[in-house]
Order: sequence, then C-alpha cells, then structure tokens
Amino acid sequence: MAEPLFDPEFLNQLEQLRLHFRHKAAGQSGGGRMSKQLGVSSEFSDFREYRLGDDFRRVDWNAYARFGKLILKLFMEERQMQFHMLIDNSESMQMYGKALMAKRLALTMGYLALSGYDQMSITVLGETSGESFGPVTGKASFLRAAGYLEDIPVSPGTKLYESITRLHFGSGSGICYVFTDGFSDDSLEDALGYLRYYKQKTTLVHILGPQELSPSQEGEVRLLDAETGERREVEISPGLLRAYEEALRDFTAGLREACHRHGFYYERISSGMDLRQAVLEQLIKNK
Amino acid sequence: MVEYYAKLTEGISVTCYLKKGVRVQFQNPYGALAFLLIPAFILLYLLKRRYREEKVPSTFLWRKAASQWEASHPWQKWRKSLLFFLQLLALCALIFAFMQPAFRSPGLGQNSIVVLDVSLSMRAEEDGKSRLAKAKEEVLRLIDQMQPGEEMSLILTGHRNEILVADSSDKGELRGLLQNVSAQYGGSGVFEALQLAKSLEKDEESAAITLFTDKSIEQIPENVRVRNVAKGAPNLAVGAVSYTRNSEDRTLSVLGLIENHAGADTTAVELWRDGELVDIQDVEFKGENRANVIFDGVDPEAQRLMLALSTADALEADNYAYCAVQDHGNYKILLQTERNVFLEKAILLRDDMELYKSTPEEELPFDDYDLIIGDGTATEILPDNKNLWLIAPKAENDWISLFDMEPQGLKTASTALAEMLFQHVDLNSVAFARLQGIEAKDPASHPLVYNGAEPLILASDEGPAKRLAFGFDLHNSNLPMTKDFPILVQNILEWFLPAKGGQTGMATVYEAVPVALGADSVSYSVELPDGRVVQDQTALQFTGTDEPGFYGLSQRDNEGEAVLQTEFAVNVLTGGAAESDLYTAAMTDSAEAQEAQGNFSRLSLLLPFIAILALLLMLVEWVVYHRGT
Repeated sequence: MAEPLFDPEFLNQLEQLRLHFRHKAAGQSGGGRMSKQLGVSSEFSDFREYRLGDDFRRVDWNAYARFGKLILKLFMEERQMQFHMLIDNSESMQMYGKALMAKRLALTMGYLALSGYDQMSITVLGETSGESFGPVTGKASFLRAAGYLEDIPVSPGTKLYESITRLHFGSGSGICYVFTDGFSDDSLEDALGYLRYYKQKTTLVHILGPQELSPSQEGEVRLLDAETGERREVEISPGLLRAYEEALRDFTAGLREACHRHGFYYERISSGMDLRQAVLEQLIKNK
Repeated sequence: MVEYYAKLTEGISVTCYLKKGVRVQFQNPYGALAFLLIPAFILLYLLKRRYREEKVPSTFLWRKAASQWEASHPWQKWRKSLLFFLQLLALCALIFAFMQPAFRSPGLGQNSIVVLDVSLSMRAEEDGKSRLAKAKEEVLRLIDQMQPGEEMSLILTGHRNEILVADSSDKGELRGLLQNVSAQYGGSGVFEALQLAKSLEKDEESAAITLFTDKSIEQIPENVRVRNVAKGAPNLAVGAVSYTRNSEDRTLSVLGLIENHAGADTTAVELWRDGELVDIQDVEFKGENRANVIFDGVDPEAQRLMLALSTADALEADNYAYCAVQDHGNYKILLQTERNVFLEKAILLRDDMELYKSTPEEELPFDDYDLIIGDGTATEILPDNKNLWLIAPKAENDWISLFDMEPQGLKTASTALAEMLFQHVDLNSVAFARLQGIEAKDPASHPLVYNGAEPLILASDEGPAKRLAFGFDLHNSNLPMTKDFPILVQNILEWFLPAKGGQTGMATVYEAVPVALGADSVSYSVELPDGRVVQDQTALQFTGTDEPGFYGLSQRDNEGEAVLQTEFAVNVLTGGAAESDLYTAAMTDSAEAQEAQGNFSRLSLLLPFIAILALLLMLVEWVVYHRGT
C-alpha cells in the first residue's frame, strides 16, 4: 500500500515548521510570511488571537470589547508573493520515494506560503503537464492542494524545459520551487533561464533516492531505465562505482552551477531524509 | 604424425612426433576423453545467467560512469573474455596433465648398464651387417647421448659373463672398449648376465639395464629393457664330423652331420683333407632338419679333415667342422697273466693298443710299456712311473695291503672317476665267487667300489702315473662274460691311455681339453688355429680353445725337446645351444613391438610442469578477477 501523502504525523510536522518560521519573523510585523521584507500596509487582511510578543498596537479593541479577547488585525504588510510549486512526477520520480518526497516538500512549502497569506500554485511537470492547481491563498486551501497532489498522473517521460516553458507567469515576480530528480530529456538549464526571465526566484530542489546517491548493486547487472526502457549491462565493480560517484558529482555540480548562474538556489535532498530535516536544514537554512 | 602402439601388458600410449628423435608420449591417452568437457564448459558459460535485471530511475549516470570507466580502463572490456579463456586454459592444462604427457628425447636419461650378447649367433649377418655390429651401433648411440655425469657399465655375455667396464662416464673409454668387442663362438648366459647386471644396479641409485641380444627372452626381469637386433635368417650348419678307419685298408670314412635351420633343401658339402679339397657331395634334407653325408675311401694318411658347406649363408662360422685324425702310434700294454682271454679281447677292441703278454712270474723291463696290467701278480715293489692295473694281486706291495672279505653288496663311490670308469657298468649284477679287500697305504688313493664298507676297487691318480687295483679275480666272477665287461675295460683303458686313434679328436669351443702327458713329458705347447703358440703349459687341461680350428699339441721333455706331437680340433656348438638356428634366436614379437622395446629414449614426465602451468593459470585468473572486482 503506497505511503499516504500526508498523515497526522506529517500535519504535525507542518505545524511545527510554521511555528518555527513564525518565531523567526516575530520581531518584525507579526505576519507569518517568510519574506524578509516587512512593512505596514493599510489593507486589512485577517484576524488572529493575540500572542505574547505581538505588537500591542495592533490589537483590535473593538473586537476585544465585543468578544473579550485580545485579537490582532492583520494587514497586508507587503505585496502578496506568488509561490509556484513545480513538481516533476515522471516515471523516474516514482522510484525510491522521490515523488512522495517532492509532493510533501511542495505541500510543506505551500503550507508555509499559505500560512504567510501568500499565493500558492502547484503545477505537475511532465510530457503532458496539464492543469495546475491554484493559485490559492489561505490555509484552507491546503487540503485541496493535498487532494490535488494525491491524484496527479505519472508522466512517462521528463521534459522539464518543454513543461516549464508552457507555464504562464504573471507580470510580477514570484518564488518558484522546482522539485525534480534532474533526469530530463531536454535542457533543464534552459528551463531555468525561462524562469529567470519571468522573474521567478527559483530553488531547484534536486531529489535523489538513497540508492542513487550510494548505489549498492554489485556484480553483473542489466539496468533498465524506468522512463526510456533502455537496458544497459554493466559489471558493477568498485572502479565503476567510483566512476558513478564522479558522474553524480559532475551532474550535481552542473545543476548547481546552472542555478548559480541564474542566481537561483540549488538543494540536493535525499528522498530518504527526514522531511523536517530536509526543510529546515536545506530548504530554509540559508534564506 | 601420430602412431599408436598396442602393448598388451602396458595399455595404450599415443606418441606425437615433434621432430626427429623428439616426441611427446601420452601415457594415459584415455584422458583425452576429458576434452569432451570443453564444449560443456563453453555451453555452461554461455547459458550462465550473467546479468540480473534491475530497474533504475535513469541509466544516465550509469552510462556516463561506464563510459568514463571503460575509457580509462580499456582492458576491462576484455576482462570477462580473459577470465573465460584463462579458465578454459586451466581446464585444458589439467586435462593435459591427466593424459600424463612425457617428453621423449634420445638417450636413456640415467645411469645405464648395457648387457651385450656376444654369442655365436651374433655373428650372423643380416642386411649387410652382423647382429653384433648392429648392437654395437646402438650402444654407441647411447654412449653419444649420455649426459654429463651419467655412467655406463658394459657387460659381455658369451660363454662366460664378463664386466667389460663398470660405471664409466668416459665416452672415449666406452667407445674404445666397445669397438674391440667381437662375437665369440659359443653360447651366452643371458639370464646369469642379467643377474650380474642387477647386482651392479644395487650399487647405483637408478640405472637402466638394457640387453642387446638376438635371443627371444621369455621372462624379462623387471626394469630390464631388451633390444633384439635379429630379424631371422635361414642357416645351414655342419653339426658334427667324425671318421672311422677301415680295418682292412685303413682308409678313412668321414661322416658329417648337416643341420638345416630353415635353409635350402639341398646343399653341397666339401671334404677337405689336409688343406686340400678332395670331394664334394650333394646332400638332400627331404624335409628333415638334418641329413648325413659320408665320404669313403679317404686317404689313410690324412691328418686333418674338414667339412665345409659350399654355399655361404648368414652364419659362416658354423659352415665348417674340423676333425683331427689321431696319431697312428699305438699304446703298448703289458698283460701279466696266466690266461685271461676275455681281458685280452676287450683290450684289443681298441685299434691303438699293442698288447704284450707275459706270465705273472716273468720279470720284464717295464720301460717300453704304457700300461702294465698285473693279473694275479705278486710284485711287491711297484714301478712309480708306470700306469698300473692290478687285478687280484696275490701279495701285498708297497701300495696296497690285502685282507679277506665276504660279499656284502657292492656300491660305487660317488666320485667323478668312479662314475667315469663304471659308466654303463652294473657290478651288482655280477656274481663273485670270492672277494678280496684292498687297502691303500697311500692316502692319496681312493676307493672306487666298496663291498659293504670296505674298498674292493682302488685308484690313484695323484702320482706321476695312474694306478688301479681290483680286489677280486676276474676268473672268480662272471664279469668278463657280461656285456658290461668290454665297456668297463674300455673305460679303464681310456682313463689310463686316452685314445689316440679311432677317436675324432674333437672338442667344442671353450671346452677344456684334457692333456695326457706322457711319461717323459713335463710340459706342452699348443699351436692355435691362428698360428700363435702357447708355450710352457703344464695344466692337465688346456682351456685356450677360444676359436674353432686345428690345435697342435706338442709335449716336451725336461730339455724342451718335443716328445709327442698330436693334434685336436675344436668346433663351434651348433644345434644344442640354438646358436645356428637363427630364427629361434630371433625375435618373435611384431617388429613394431620390438621397435618400441628397443627405441631407447629418456622419458621426462611433463606432469609437474603441466601442473605448475595449471596453477599459474588459476593464479593469474584469480588476480585478474580480483583486480577487476
């Protein structure tokens, strides 16, 4: 039975992450956005209960008079960011739990975005990438996003550039997370260039399975490519494994350099990693 | 070229000739059946499930890795094939080792003891050379192939076995000794020679005993190789020659025995008298293997007779037989008796006897006589230097004493002399009216016949002359009337006085010829057939009869003057020793088997090297495999 996309444990982890980010941003405007930009806006956004440490000046005294509770008025302190979660759901991603990790990471980042009153959309990349989900706002949209991700089709192949260039971005900038294993039939670097053109601050989340990061096969193996069906006979020896590691390093370095050239972020994550660890230590730590 | 030898006792071996004199021999060719495993090995290798299939997200990284790896380690592509071929080679090496290959190169490969047959039959010529020459050529080859440090002993087996040289590594010495070896005229003692060789072998760590012969050896001792150099050839031989003298005109009749050993059915026989051809006769065998030829009316004065076959054959030496006609001089015998007709007649059966008679009482000078027979004499002092035969002496003398005895049963002594004198004589069938015991005063005398435990007949042959004493009177027995009596008398006379006339005067090669020295003779010389003279011989037997032909015997007195000239002939031994039958002496096995038996070569087992090669291959295979992994 496939592992569920989210379970109570996952939801618990999400909430912990949200609190973590909220704590980090508590000295600024009291909003829950991850953005560094803080300011004051007159546009009313939302209510929430007063917490210790909030700016007392934001207390809605009318609501207090009415309900007897300290409630804060939240305003749009900065412009609403567009978060785009681009998920590679090709055949190659279905192995080693990479697709599950990608979806969870996308949901996590999406949750955080929604918690910060930003917009979030989810697009599945693939040969037949079709409809997207969103953009949506508000935490209430989270479940719908999760439900969407539960039923996304598996793409037989991977053409990231073709998929990404089909996307339409608004005039403004946005934040883009691309969740993929990087095995694309076309140029991922060109896809990054497209994203840069559309002012998408992109983080390439390179997800690889533990078996891809440290292969443990040995002997004479006929490898079957999950997407192309290509067969390759190899005699896996320590020498070949060393060559594989080198190829992996080169591959990773290539993607990293491509991201850096475009001013993007690159993170390589193992699908076997703890989600919280992955988010905190890799996706969020340097931002 | 591959030849197959079928050795019934040793199984089958396969030989591959690499180049002249060098070949690889497989002691266990059946091991080649294991090569049938090779196709199975290849099939298993091909059918072996070599790859397990595994699905991966993408082969992209593996392709890149494999390309980089193969670019930097190009031989890795061939590693799998290399392992396969190494394993295949190791399997082939093991199968090869299982076939027990051995490298044969010329030579015996170890210390050797060569036994060379030099008997008469080795003189036989086949294909233009004698058997001995062929054998010597092969021995010379073995000498040439000796490696430094190897030693060879040479033993000749002829009428006696002789170690020519022992443990010599000097090729020059060996060649020189071998070159001087020539075939003899007698038989050979192959079995004893091999025993002798075996005794030499015990002193050596390992030695190859090789017998070169023309004999078919039935039971070859262990670790002995036999090289039979004979092919077999028809042969005729003069087996024997003798003569008789016609009593009327004293002409000689010469009788020859001709042997046919698969030769022609007829042949011509020549009679040579004193070096001159006097007659030729044709002999027909009529399907038999022997025939007689008689030449009558031969000159009575003939001294030397020789029969020769007119046609040469493979073995020349047995085509001649020699016979020396003995001297016409007769022995003089004095018989002192009252009357003894039977004894007289028995004596006169020999042509070379001149018999003189006297009464026992008469005293005659004994100097003129070769034998004194005292029948009932009473001489007390006997002559020292005269042959004496006393029959029933009436008185004791300085040689014997007398005593009475009752008949108790006669028994002949177990001595050579008794055996010779009483050959074909049965004294127990003789009736004796009275017996008289005699006892010798001379310890050198010895009884020939006992009556009970007491001597009845004595003899002495230690002194300058021979003596014989009968303790019974011939008249008091029926001995003279038995058919044995003349035989007994002839035996006695032959002992006293070896026949000079009427006998053939023949001996066979290497036979010791007894020499009866006359009373005045102190030594003798012998002229050999090749003209050499052997001087100053004193032995009672002459042993230098190494060649067939005529030997002249000259007895000399103490002043060196010749006092008696006689001749005797020596002939080769033909049928009895199977030397003339060149087919019986030859090999009976197939030529190939004999060729295999005789082709000497050192056998170097290759098994250790093959095993080392197999181990090395497996080691290399292990290294290659582990380097790759």
